[in-house]
Amino acid sequence: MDAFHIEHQGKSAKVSLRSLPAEEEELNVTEKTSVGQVTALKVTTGVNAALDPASLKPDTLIGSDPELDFAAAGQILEPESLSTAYYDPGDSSRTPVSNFRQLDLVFDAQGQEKERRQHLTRKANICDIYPVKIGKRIPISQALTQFVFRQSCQIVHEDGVTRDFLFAIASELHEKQEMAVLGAGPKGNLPLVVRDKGSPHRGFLYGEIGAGADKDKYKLLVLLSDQELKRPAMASPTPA
Amino acid sequence: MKELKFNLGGRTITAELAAKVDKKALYGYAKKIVEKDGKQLARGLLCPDGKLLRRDEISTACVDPEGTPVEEIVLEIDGKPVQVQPSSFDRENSLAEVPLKALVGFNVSDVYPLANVSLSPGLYRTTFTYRKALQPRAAFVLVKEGEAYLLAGRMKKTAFVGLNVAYEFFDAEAQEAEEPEDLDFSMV
Repeated sequence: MDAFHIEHQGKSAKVSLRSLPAEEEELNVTEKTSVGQVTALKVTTGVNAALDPASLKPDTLIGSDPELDFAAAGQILEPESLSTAYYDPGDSSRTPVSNFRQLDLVFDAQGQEKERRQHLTRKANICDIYPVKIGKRIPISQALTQFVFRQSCQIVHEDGVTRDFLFAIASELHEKQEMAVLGAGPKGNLPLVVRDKGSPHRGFLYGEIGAGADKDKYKLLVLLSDQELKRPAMASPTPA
Repeated sequence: MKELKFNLGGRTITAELAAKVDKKALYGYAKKIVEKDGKQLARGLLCPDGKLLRRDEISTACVDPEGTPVEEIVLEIDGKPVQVQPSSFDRENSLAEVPLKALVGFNVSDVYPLANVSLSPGLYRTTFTYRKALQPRAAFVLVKEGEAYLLAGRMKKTAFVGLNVAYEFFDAEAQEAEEPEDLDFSMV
């Protein structure tokens, strides 16, 4: 559960953002042999790290196995005892390097580098001092056919006051059959970041009021999208 | 392009599945690198004995309690052996027209453009698995004017909320101004 700070018509409220259960439960799959359950272990491969495989001639590979170091193969590694370290690829002793810089290389859709920047670590902005603002409205049918929704969460109230606040928003969207664009930040135009170090997504609000026995109930969903539903200018064939 | 077959009310419909379209293909991407004094560094894993291993020096091995399995591994679900389902390309996939709102709550993981689809505009529910799998994923075929897509992913359950919130319905554990005319999706 996350707190969600939302503003509508000049009023703001802090409510709950809940993740949703899957329609189909995750399969409880086990792999077995007659001896027992199969487990995955991290092991050393025995690749001869002192050699550059590209420098080896076919005859050398046919005649012997210099690319393999059998003594170094099959050692079981405990994942929790390993830590990431960086080294100079030209340093044969592979000494860990400290005081390095982390950068982001930004590539365009054609794979051309267009920017180098300090590595960007985003902070969650859905429960910031600036509430998430409800912006532009889009017909539901247009939103559902124009954007790829990656994640869905449901907003629920904390008390009677926030229940009325959310019910009113859901009711308005339901009557107009629209979805609303959500925006974070001071101007309410930034993408939503649900978690620290998370990816930015465009947020959309979907509202529905129940019928029959559910007529006094509401459903308010936050749908997150990071992609428009369209083909690239020049699609390159890649395997699935 | 690979051919998919669907069955809509007893009628066989074919479509050609194009390469997956992801965010990277549309907007580009950002790649994190680490450098010192202008020289790009490689990433490795440091062992407790001080040895630094390259990524290709580590692999995953599947072992049973006696070591590396020599006999065929059997897959079980809740203690019962299961058969792997064929790929969607090797069978006729059932298709049913559903209202467009069925997409609400559907978390899309993969988007594939479809070509040569003889379906009228609308939304159709199906299942999809590119390769053989234990269970095909939920999927929709979305047909718009002049284009069609297959969306594969996972359907989420939603609930109407009354005065009292049924908190047990939702996952107890969390998972993981100026209005621009067009939304900028190049958030790399």
